[in-house]
Amino acid sequence: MDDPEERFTELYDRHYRNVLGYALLRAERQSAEDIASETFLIAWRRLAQVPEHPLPWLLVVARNLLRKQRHLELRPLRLTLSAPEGDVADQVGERQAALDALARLSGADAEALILTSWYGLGPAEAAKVVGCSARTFAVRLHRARRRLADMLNSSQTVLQEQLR
Amino acid sequence: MNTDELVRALRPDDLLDDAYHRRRGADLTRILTDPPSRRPSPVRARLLLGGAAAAVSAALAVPVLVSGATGPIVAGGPAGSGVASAPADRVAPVVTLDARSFLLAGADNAARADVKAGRYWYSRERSYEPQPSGEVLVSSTETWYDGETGRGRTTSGLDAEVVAGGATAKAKPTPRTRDFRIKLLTGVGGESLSQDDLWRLPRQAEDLRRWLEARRRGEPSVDFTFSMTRLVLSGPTTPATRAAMLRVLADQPGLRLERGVADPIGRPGAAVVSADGANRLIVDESGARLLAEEYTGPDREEERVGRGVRVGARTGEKTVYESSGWVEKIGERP
Repeated sequence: MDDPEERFTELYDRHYRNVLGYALLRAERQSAEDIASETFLIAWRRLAQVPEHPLPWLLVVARNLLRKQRHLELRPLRLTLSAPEGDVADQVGERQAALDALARLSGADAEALILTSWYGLGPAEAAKVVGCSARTFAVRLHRARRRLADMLNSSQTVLQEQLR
Repeated sequence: MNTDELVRALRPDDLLDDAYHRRRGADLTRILTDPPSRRPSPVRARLLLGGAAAAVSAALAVPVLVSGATGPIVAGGPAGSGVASAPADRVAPVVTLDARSFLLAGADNAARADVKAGRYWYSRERSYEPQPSGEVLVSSTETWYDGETGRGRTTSGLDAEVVAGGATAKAKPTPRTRDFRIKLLTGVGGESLSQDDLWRLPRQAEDLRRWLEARRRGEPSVDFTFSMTRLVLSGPTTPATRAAMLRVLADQPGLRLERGVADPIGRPGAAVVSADGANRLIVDESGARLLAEEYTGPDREEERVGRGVRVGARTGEKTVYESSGWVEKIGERP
């Protein structure tokens, strides 16, 4: 694609939601939207440097902006990932259990799960985003999956006991 | 459902879709009218398009300088006008002046400068942007803008370079030229100023001082005064306003004057430095023409002030004002 404006617009259309979703993990909504916009402004200014697979690059830019603006910690996921209207009770319950479990993970573990499950990033790409080695990230992801599964299993056990 | 599927189901797609549809138009308008490789100016420009305000980072905040600046106040000093090219010999000071005297003399020279009539305000700037990696991105931008019709052109990405560890790598030049018709406004202290508003800024030092103080909004006086000096000396303002601005700057406490310096492209001049050393303006030896500005203080984070944003600054940032002035047609240069 030769036309830079066309290339940029496609980049925005394809990845805006991904970048905003990532920013929302650390910033409240208005700030997150501003950070997503600023991320794409930087992408426009550096369009020649944006790689063929741009998402990890965009998330690194967003992460740097978040850090610059002192959004260093993951927000309570409950605030970010509020349940959509119209969910049936089972879905709400399952969702709530997942939210509770995610909220009890460390920020790094939760981020590892989100980067791989929301964006389909492999360990090497996700590691670049969070600034660690691919091996470290793979270990972190494995640990996060195991802890989440353990917590979900224990919460189901508690729920079943309460129903008896 | 495994853990990945569970987490994926938590993605707030409705919220993301809503923001995407709500912001797409304004974002694309703002971003695509921004010249690439520009850092935000301390005075952020705002773009009004089709009646809807959209922020734009410094689209036209930096043009210019006094065309036809007058001669030197020191014997042997270069008059300097137009675009300088090759590095010049350092200028040996003949008379020692303090910063205040130098600026006041510059004010007298600025007030006498000719005003060249023309429809378009032209500027060519070169920006130096330090990156976290240690590299410095360098790029030049040319802009023509007629505030009356909103017509203009910007060509950016000229002479791009990457400087790392003292070595310079010429990036493949990818200049982009965009013709536009939009109303560009410069935001100062919550007020949006058109090109005509800049021309109508107060022309007496006391009036300008009061005007500035009413818009400073808590920013340290020295930082604000240096920012405004950049804007006024590089923008489409009257010689009288530029002279008044230099007189206001001259009253800042603790200014230092460094003679016999050169700007980043080798043009000789003198540097006026703030008491804390963070802000440095390089002017020609007439004291009336702004050549460059450099920020060497600690990195400053971007900060929200009311509905506006006070942009941050990174140590090592520089802007060179290569050329500016009024011209009749797009494509002409002073």
